[in-house]
Amino acid sequence: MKVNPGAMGRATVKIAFLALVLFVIFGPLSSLAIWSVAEKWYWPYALPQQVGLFYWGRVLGSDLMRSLQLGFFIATAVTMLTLLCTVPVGYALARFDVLFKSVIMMLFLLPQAFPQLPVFANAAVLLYKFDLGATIPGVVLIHMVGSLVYAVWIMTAVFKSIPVEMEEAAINLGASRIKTFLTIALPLAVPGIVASSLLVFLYSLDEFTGTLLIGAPFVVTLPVFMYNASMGYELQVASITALLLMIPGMVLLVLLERYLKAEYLSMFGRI
Amino acid sequence: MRRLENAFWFAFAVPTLGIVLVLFFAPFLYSALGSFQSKSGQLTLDNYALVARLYTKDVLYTVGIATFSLAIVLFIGILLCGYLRVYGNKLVEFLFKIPLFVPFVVVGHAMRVFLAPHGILNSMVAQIGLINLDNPPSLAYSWLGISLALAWKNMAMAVLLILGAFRSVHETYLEAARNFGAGAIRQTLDVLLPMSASSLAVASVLMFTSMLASFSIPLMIGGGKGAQMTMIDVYYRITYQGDYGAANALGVVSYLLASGAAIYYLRTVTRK
Amino acid sequence: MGPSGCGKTTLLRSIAGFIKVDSGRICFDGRDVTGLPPQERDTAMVFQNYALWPHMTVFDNVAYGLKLKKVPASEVRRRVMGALELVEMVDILGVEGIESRKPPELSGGQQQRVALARALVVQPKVLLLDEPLSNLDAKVRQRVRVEIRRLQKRVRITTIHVTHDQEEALSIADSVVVMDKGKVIQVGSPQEIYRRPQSAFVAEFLGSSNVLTGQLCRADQTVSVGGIKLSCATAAEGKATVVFRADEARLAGEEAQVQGNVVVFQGDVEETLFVGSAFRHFVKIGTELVMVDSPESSPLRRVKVVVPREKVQIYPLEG
Repeated sequence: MKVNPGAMGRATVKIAFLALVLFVIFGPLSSLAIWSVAEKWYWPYALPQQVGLFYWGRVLGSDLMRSLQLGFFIATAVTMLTLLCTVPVGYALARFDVLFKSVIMMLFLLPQAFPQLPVFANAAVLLYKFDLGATIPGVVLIHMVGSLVYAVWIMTAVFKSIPVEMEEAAINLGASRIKTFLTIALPLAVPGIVASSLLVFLYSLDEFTGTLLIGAPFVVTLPVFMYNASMGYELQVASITALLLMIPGMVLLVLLERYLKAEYLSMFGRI
Repeated sequence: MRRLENAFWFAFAVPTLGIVLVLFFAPFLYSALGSFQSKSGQLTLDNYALVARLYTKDVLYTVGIATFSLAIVLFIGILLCGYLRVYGNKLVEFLFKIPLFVPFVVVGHAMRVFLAPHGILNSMVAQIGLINLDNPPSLAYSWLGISLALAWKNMAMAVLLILGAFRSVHETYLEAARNFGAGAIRQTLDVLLPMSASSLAVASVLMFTSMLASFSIPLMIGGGKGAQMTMIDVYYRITYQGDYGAANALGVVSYLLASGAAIYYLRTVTRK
Repeated sequence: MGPSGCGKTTLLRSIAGFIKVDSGRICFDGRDVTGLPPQERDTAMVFQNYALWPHMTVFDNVAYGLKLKKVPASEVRRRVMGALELVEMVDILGVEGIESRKPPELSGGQQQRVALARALVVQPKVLLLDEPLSNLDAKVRQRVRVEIRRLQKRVRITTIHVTHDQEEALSIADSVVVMDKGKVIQVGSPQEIYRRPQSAFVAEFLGSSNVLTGQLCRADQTVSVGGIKLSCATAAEGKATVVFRADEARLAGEEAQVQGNVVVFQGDVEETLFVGSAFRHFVKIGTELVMVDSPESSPLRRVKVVVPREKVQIYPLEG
């Protein structure tokens, strides 16, 4: 078979392009992987002189595991409380003329527009006044500020996407409002609720700014742990932590890839 | 009766609203008020005078970095999304979603080691002999490093937003151009870009304000000396000097810079 | 022409070069264009939704193809105005309107003309129209149909016009290609297609046709349908479809004597509907329901349905 030179050229360009993309995306991340196994690495060597899992062993037996557990505990609490708060609100906003509806919508939107740090710094002052500073409930509350404003909008969108006729049919047959919600709207909303809970969970797991301001020095989640290690030039420890921190996000990316729409992800474009 | 029912549904929103009001809007107002108060509680404009004296350069620096970063993101994003829209490439599309779920602190740390004077990037470039490692250029700890890290992280969001806008342009508009021999770049610049200009403007405003408000990336990759991004200034002012007045004044400046996004969000509510 | 989903638009887009064909060749006037990209085929397409770029003025829309071909500006202007003149848009919008108005400000019919001008301005060898009238309301459609036909005769460009509307196809085409399920079923002049459909599908698609199921018998060369036997040359046994048009049948009284080479069915009138141009009688023949159009409403109940023999088509069913 004769090889078409034009097609060869195109294939070369395509491969070069893919290589460039891979480098841009994985270049920065590869340094984490290399540092995580570098037992000895001084310049001018391009690669570590000594490679091994020494630091992995050390890190996994250290405070990191406590931070990991703490992070999962906080994220679970944040997710459950957020669901409890936002599912009814989302349903009400999607279906009814709630009193002060547009004001409520606005209050749930505006926090997404403004920088969080100056606000959280003042919220920290407030939480310390209530003796919630540097406590787990304090960190849960500050995570919830971020997750609530996000989840209210998603829940409203989820319930709006369920045709109202489905519920009217149930009411028409004599079902009560509560029964209609529990047997029609809620089951239909489950996929949306699950997807947004996963995102809220990930948000809490990755949250840094609020945790640093309110949690320090006693509540140290994984991102704060990693920050401390990186600033203390424990590069191996920080890199291993960073790799661990990436796992939940990557799992979620593979799980939710098909459902990723920009409007549902506002929370991850920030800070 | 109807009013009663509306009030009933309102009751569901109260606990949620309460948390947001107490932990977001109260501190928000508190920071705005605090910016006009001296340490002893008197009304004053001193904090703003201090901000103007010490931080004008930093505010400009922040705006500069956000602008530069946004330019990178838009330039690459538009060409890339044009290519993805016209030819389609599932693998590349997936790869560009990865940064979205890499936490900000991880991006900060990864870029720190990647762009450091003796980091991976310089080592690689040195291998092909382009730079001398005895006197390496450093991207980390500089405005360029912050910009690149922010651009890398925001690229995922940009691809989602721009590709979404490009996908909403019906295929026939592209075919009509292809009919006359327009290639991928012409189709992108002549058809896709102008037809999704308004969504792109919104996306730009949102990305720009989120870059202005970035904290963890400049915290980890920014230089210790010279100009800082405003959020770093706010943080240092509070943790090292305990000076809430000046920090809040700087905070108010950052709110004003974010007002473009705020106006957009207000519009979405009033439109509904 | 063909029902929606039959592959006619896919075929058109393959001709335009938007779809790569798996096999077969596409030739214009003997020139093989199968491997060529759209712009090198000398085709121009008018899309169902017109696909006029909403951010460009009417002028820029029409000029786009010429600008890509690097035609000098003065000539671009001349040719754009020429094309718009051809579709009678210069009088409607004026030169100023052409340079300032954008497609969303125009009516559907006007957009249609601009889309035609954009295609014609590059002087294609083949003009491709993808359901160009389907987005227009019925009244405008009738008028634009005539205009397209007139325009095509004037510019003398081979035009492939895809439509699911049989009336549209029959009234403006020189040659009609009927498609179904991705296959070409019949090719012929509009009269041929209408008078001598070569399959039950075509007959049915042309509308107002009655389709009955019959049983072929090779031994005595007949087909039994609706309680009678028709003579018919057949080499096969099995089912066949028997087709005749509602307006080519007539009703007669139960006792009436019928002369000539005709087919006569016995039946009961079940319902009569006024359909504008005629009264349509629904007659039950055995288990089947047929339609018979006549200018007057028939008061009869038991009737004879009389169809000239040459108007009855018989198609053996395959498989």
